[in-house]
Amino acid sequence: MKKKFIIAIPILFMIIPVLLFLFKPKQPSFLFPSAPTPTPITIPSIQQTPIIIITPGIQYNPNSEQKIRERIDNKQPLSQQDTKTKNSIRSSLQNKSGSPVTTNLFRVDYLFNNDIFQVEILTTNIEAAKKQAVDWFLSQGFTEIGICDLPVSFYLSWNVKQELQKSGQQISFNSLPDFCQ
Amino acid sequence: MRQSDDKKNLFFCILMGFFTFFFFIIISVIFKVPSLYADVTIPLSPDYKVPPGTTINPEEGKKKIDELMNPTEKKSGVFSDFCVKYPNICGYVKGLFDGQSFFKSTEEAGDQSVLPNNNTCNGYYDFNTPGPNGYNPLHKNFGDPKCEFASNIAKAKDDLKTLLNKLDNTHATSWFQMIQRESSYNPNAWASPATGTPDVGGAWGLLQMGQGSNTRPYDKGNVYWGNQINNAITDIKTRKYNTCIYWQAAKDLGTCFTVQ
Repeated sequence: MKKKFIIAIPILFMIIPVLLFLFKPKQPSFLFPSAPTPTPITIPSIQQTPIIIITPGIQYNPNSEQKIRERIDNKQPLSQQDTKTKNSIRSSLQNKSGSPVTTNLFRVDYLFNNDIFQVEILTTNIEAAKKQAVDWFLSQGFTEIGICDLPVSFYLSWNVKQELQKSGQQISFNSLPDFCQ
Repeated sequence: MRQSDDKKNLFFCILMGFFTFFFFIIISVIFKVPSLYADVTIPLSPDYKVPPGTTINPEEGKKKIDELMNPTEKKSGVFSDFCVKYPNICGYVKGLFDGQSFFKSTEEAGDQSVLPNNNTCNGYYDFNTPGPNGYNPLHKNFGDPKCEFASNIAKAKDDLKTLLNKLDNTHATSWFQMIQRESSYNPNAWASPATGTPDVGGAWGLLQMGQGSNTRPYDKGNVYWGNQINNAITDIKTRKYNTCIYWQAAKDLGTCFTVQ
């Protein structure tokens, strides 16, 4: 009798987990099984040290950046001619944001709600791209003062930055046209 | 003879005890018996949408999550935070369950349209051809899954600036410039750890952030672009960091600030 009891206990211990599994309360079906598992991420990261993202090889002009910021936040009044030209571009875009011109070297973007002009440079031939873009603005009827006051700002595309980074070139980049004071 | 039997029985019992113990462990691992796992997920409703413009404080957030949780899954826990910053899309919950901290974005649970996908947006993005800096290791479109930047970058940048105006109006233009510097407005930008990124997984998205962690859930750039922005601002805000401690671009631009 005792022997049977001793053998039965381990068997019961084996059966209990199986029964627990078979009759456990049904789990709510999670929503998107294919979605990333929303478990706490345990990827190690540097917590308290200053974090620096470096864009090697490109030296920016901090004065230009400040001017751009000031002119975006505090719009300068434009001359009649510049206002007319800007309105003409806005009309051509049907009063929406859009890109009025794109070439191999650059693309002009107009951000309607925030009234911002930007030029993305699409080539490592930066000076040529800037010159062509400025020429385009002048050809539309803007004055040089108007281009600075809008302001028209330049930036390098992600791919151009990557290429410059890979090449190890050191370049100096002014986000404003060079004639802007 | 009887003594020998007792020894055999004792040996048999010990053997069976070990066997039972390992059997139970194997069953638990295979079928994920909940009590052994602390990585509790929150079953947010798939059609759950945060009303536009909603800001939920932690107390309301706790209530909201309690509502959303399936009663059978309800466990004791503390919700330390729940914030909603972006209409219909962004929301984060973080807190403690069974002593295990967690975080989860509603985007991951509720809005599939902003989950990473394989959409190259008609070839605008390339997730497989190694470029100078490689390609993101997910091989996914995490930042622009709805192709908003790819289809009309001017409009997307306009929306981005508007979002920044809303989330941190004081520094919106500075953020806008930092994004330009960090990623050239490419929400799928990824920089390899080889370039010296602080996160072992590289730098992700518009503001070249990390992948998020338990202790720093908002340092997370490998998500939808709207959430990238929300994360960046929330990260700075919650950690009371100065932008210049985090981003070299902020230093370069002379835009060192904290967010209240």
